[in-house]
Amino acid sequence: MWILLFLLLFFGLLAAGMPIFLVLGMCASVLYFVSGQPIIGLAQNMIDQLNSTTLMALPLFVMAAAFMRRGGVAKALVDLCIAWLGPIKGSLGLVAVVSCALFAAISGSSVATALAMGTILLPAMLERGYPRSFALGVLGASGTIGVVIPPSLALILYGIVTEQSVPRLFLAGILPGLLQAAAFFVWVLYYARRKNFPAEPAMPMRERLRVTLWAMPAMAVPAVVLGGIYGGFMTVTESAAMAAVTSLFVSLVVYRGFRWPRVLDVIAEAIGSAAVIMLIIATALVFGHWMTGSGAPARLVQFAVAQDLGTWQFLLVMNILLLIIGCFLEVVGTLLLVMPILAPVLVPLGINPVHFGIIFTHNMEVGLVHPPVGLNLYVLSTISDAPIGEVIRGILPFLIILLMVLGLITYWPALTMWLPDLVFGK
Amino acid sequence: MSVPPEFQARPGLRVLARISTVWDWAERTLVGLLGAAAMIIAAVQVFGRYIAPGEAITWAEEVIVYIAVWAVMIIASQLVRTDAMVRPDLVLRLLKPGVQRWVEMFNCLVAMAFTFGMLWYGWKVVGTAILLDQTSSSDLQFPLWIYYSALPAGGALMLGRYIIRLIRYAVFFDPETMTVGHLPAHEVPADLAQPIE
Repeated sequence: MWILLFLLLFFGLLAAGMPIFLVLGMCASVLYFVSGQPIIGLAQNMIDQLNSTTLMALPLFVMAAAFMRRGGVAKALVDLCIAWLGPIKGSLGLVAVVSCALFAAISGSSVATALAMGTILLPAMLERGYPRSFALGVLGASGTIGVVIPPSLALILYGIVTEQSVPRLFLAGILPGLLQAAAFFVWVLYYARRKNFPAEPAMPMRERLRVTLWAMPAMAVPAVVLGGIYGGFMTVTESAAMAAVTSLFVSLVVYRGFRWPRVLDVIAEAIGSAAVIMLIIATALVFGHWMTGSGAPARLVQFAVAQDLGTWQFLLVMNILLLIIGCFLEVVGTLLLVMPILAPVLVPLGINPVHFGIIFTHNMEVGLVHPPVGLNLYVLSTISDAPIGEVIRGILPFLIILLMVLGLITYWPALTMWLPDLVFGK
Repeated sequence: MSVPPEFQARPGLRVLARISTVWDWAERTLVGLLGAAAMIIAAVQVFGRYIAPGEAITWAEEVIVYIAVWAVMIIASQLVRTDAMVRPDLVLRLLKPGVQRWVEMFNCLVAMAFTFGMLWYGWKVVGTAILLDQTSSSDLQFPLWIYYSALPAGGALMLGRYIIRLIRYAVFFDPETMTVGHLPAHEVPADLAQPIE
């Protein structure tokens, strides 16, 4: 009876378009009230859940991304890629894939990547006569690489919710991210040849080296982050702060995309984007806390084990379920709703939570470009004035590639686990 | 700094518009300063550890939590104002503007109930912390009521914004600009206005 009422409340509020943090907060309040716990405990729990140093990596990485996006870093990376890939047919498509992967290693957010690259490359591609649906498809799909390539906000959150090591998750994301980029690259190469897309004029070597040198400061950020964490010099949160400091310096001094007076504004904007996520975290963790106490995950574990599903069957069911949820909710919402329930099931079924983290985040990438509500689709449709149907048509081949990569990631654990096992041991 | 058009149109409301502009500015500037402080403190800790170990601070991450959570709670008010909260709007998109208006007003009422709860119970949490003289367990022994106050503060700021939002939907509803499907302000890249060069 109570459960029915609760589900009604939960889905009713979601359907009404209530912000997710309020939906979870209201549900948690009702649960506290019904089970006779004082509501002040909920307030205490909410503020205590935010008291986590790992969580603070989030606003700091978002700040770094905001500096980078505003600071003219994207342009330097695009120029770098054009210098080296230019003479190949369909080079601007290839440039989109590679520079998105590079920018992803700096920013950690898919929408930010699609925005930063889309605003530069889309006009350039249209001017050179690429079909608009192809241009939109390659940009939207390449933007998703940012979800798994470190530093990834989604993986930080996954680490917090499932209590896994964030550095280990970061390493696990590298090879699947590169595989995805490589698969896109090959497809664009093939498609461009078939459709006879234009090439860019070759640059003299001297010019190439100059452009490469110019892009080097941008690459300092991933160097600081990865070197800092894996060299054992910094915690994840400290490396996020250093990424912010480095990117601020690079943007202000080297690329000069914005000036000193605007710094506070850009920071406020970045904290705004981070706050969207952190408010959800505060209520979602309270909700998850209650959920664990209620014994629902334990019953789910019993149920899952009793079904006698093989690991591969369970993973298949999970992928389908996540793809469906990914159609309606974005990355953070799905992660915080699903993972507290799902996390306890993984180990009894013989699934490594780190491996599952990559399956999960890759799944969410698919959701970002999946009709009907993929966020990247809307971002691209907005910046190009193209109808959403045209964006979907362009993204379809990439969607198929993404699903194939998802299959590989799911059923070939070594692809994900080899690198973290190599660095940290089993 | 945006002033809702209906405020500009009615001379009697100009004072309100002025207050709202200053309020926005104060929130954004304060959050900018807090964010900058968090960044600088972390940098000082890292550099201190490797360059001047004698002078190094150890409490940076703890203080960053307090600063960042305060910043998040303050900027939450701006998120309500610009409709930037993450929400599934699939069903809303299917509704007619007139129906959307009522659903949004219902949403505002629920949100007001929750944010009032944040204010009320958050205040009690703060009171308890002061009464028991709670401090953090680190060397710093930071008085926790200062950190806890972020919760009622965020609740109060958001409550104010939701009341304004409710009034806008109730009195000044404009189907052209206030229905879903317009990309929320936070997702429109400011870079479009100022191309990255």
